[in-house]
Amino acid sequence: MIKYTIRRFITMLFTLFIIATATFFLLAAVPGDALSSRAERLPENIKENLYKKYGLDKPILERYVITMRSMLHGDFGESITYEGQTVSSIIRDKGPVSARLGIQQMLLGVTVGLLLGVVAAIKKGTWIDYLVVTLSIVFISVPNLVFGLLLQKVFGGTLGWFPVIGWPQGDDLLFGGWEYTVLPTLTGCFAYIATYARLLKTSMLDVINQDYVLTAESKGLSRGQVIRRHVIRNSFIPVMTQLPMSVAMCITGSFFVENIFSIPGLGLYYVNAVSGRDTSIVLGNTVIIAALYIIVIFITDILYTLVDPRIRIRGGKK
Amino acid sequence: MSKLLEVKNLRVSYHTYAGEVQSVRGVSFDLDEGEAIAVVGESGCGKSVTAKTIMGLIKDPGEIKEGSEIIYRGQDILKLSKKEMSQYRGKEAAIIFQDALAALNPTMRVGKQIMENILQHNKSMSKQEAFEEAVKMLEMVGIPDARQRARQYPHEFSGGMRQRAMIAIAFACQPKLLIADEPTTALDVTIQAQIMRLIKDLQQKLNTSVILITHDLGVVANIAKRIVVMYSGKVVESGNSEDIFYHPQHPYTCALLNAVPRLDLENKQVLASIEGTPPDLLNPPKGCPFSTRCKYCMEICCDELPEMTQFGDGHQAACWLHHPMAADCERPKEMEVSK
Amino acid sequence: MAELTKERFKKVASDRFDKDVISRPTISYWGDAWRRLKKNPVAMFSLGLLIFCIIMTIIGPYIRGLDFISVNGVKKNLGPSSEFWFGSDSLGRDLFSRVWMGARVSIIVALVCTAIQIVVGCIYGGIMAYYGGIVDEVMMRILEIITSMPSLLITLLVMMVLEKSVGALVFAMCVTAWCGTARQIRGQIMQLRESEYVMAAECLGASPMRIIVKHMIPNTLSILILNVASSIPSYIFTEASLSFLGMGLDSNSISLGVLISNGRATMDLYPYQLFFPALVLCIIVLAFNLLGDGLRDALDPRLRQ
Repeated sequence: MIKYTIRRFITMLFTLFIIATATFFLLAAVPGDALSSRAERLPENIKENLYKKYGLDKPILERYVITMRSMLHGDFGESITYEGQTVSSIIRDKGPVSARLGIQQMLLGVTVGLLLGVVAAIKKGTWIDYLVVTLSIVFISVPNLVFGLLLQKVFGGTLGWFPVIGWPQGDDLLFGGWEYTVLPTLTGCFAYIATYARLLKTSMLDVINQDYVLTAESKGLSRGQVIRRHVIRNSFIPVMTQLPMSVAMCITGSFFVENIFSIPGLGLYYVNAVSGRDTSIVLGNTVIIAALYIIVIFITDILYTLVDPRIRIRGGKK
Repeated sequence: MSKLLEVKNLRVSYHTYAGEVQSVRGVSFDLDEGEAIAVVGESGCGKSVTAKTIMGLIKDPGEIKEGSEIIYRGQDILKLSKKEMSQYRGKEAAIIFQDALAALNPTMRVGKQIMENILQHNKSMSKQEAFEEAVKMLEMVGIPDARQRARQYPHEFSGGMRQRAMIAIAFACQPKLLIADEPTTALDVTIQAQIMRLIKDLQQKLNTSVILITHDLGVVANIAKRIVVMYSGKVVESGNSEDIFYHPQHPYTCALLNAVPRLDLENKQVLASIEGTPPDLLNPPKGCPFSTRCKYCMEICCDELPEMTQFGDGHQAACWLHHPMAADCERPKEMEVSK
Repeated sequence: MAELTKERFKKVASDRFDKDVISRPTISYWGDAWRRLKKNPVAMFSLGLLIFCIIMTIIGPYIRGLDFISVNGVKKNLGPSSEFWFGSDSLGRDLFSRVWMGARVSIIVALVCTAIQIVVGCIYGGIMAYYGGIVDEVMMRILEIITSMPSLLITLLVMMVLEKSVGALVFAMCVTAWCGTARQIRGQIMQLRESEYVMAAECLGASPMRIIVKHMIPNTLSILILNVASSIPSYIFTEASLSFLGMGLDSNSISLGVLISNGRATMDLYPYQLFFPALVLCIIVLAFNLLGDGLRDALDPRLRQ
């Protein structure tokens, strides 16, 4: 088990290294970086200094080595467009915003989704089941940007129940200012509800047909007991594999949700950096997002072995 | 001895997308206290469905038809309330399934799965006591290092061990009735004998009634006093083991007996098989279900169902060959021996 | 009960029954799948809806006979009316025609991407399964690295490098998508190769060609069909999302994403300009998803009873 964990950890670092390298060279191929437009109207010597500052006067391989070395030291680069903004400072400022949004979405979406999934599986064939199935297929088929715009229009604009754009600032950053977070959270959580409801329902129906459920019933356990003790845990195993996907959904979803509601988070900033071709910011952020994602995959794998005793042995033997 | 269980005219259907499959079509038999009987038949004859019905485990898309009765100690278990049902299951009746790996929860420790049964029916017991009880059960079914084994998961057990653990679960509350649904089919031959002996020992020790469900007549001989032979959802013959083995009165039973490998056969004699396949229970034939495969089939067999003919001592068979008008018809040589 | 007569107790000739005849007609896998699909009203409804949408993407832009490309300064921002069924946009162009034109582009992009994904995925997965060993190991590592990034992120990065165009969009969306297909194909082929019925076929002297045609293709085909059914809506989705972020097609071209993105700009004043493209997008995606669900139920052999 420990050996397996260590091996996975090394693979993880290697993957991250490859991603950083690939992203670096990909971004080096971006035509017309942000600096050239900024430097256009400047006198020659200042321009040179500017290029020197960002290290863009050096050959690409040398730049690569320098970038990698500074990343190892925790320096992920500085914005080309906005002087003084470093990746670290951006993460510090905007990270909490996106984190709160993401966590709220996931908590709400996953909880509601799982509950609906359980209900749909238990009440299979009733109107509740059909309702959940219909809801989830609709939630999957309507892009969250359409949902976002719709909610914004109806509840923000027409009814005026909630603010149309914005996000709690200052002291309210982590707790408080809830009225701002309602619409973005709802927008993001629909996709989770749909995925988890469907997934858990399928998985539960699979488990309910297993022989060990019959065994449990033949012990005289009530239906509720059978479901709580035997069905739920076993049907959660396949659901766990969705964790990385959910985080991916959260990251890419934030691009849209933050865009629609003008939330000053990482997603919005990232998209702006991409469209502004601010390569150093994009590189730094990409590496950090990738690291986050890979760590989640890693954690999922470890959790998986904890929940399913059958895998623990196999993993240990490897 | 009093009757423990009476199954009367049991009919069970499954509703599939193709239509209604009549898995069990009017099965009746009974069981005394402490008695062991065997229900024998090939796959798909409805024997497992019968077993599940007795445990009350039939659910959608299965349907128990009107008029079916399963009387356990004077009470129809098909009419039990949920609460009474959960008292009955586990405490009064228990079941062992064919594939123990599938029948044990893979993510729950074996000991806990036994404890679950004990705690369910002894509400006052503490967890610690229940665990001790579970260890005792594991010891009783012959699992070494029971204390340690109780903390392991099913996949850490070998095939025979798992079936032993299943038996421990089933016997945990000393049920009056044990249903063993092909308990040895998934096991090695050497293990099969051990498991059968274990079931027999426990049955005698605890005076449990056993319904052994199997397709293997060889397994049946030394455990069951009586045998019920089923074919395509119906009982075709039932009686004492000796009667069934030595004086079978139904061509299907004869054919089954001939299909059991025997050591005393002549070298070159080919092991008999029954040609053809059982009828489709989506559209059961209106005559005798075995008629299409029967070597002695008569005109009437294709059109009308035979009645049960009694031969005394509870031995009965459903075949037209026993009708007085068929007295001089050809029949299997086993059936010619007059009793 | 009819009268019992001596005649009826005559033995029946033993050849009267063909004993090994199976009483239920056998249904081929595909026949059965099709039958199950036909029985599923939701799937059939979505199939109909889809056919309707596809026909509309072909003829829709021309039904009104209006010019939907050039700017008309007079008829700007008109609401839905008998002249402009879906209204006109901020440059006075017929939205009805533009929506179906956009749907056409979106669907074509999705189809091309899906085709590329399937072809590349099959080849890559096939090579992995065929060579096995070190080749498999290395190719699997590459897959793992690509899939250890959220795929939209990679698409975004690739779009950043490339000039905005349909080709670039297709390339960017396909960069990661084939990985899933390749993995599934590899798994399926490996499993088939070790399966007992393929071994049995080999033992019976079936030629490799026959094994491929009779066993490999039918068994991987259902996976591929499901892959197609789930990929198309997700491409339509991604295209719309990218265009919405301004990273897809540029705002002069017509696609559902571009129309939604343009509609958003005027959302407060002329909500219908956002509503109609979004509605058509949702309907198409919904139809594909419903059909995909129906296909999954129809093709899953575990559900066959």
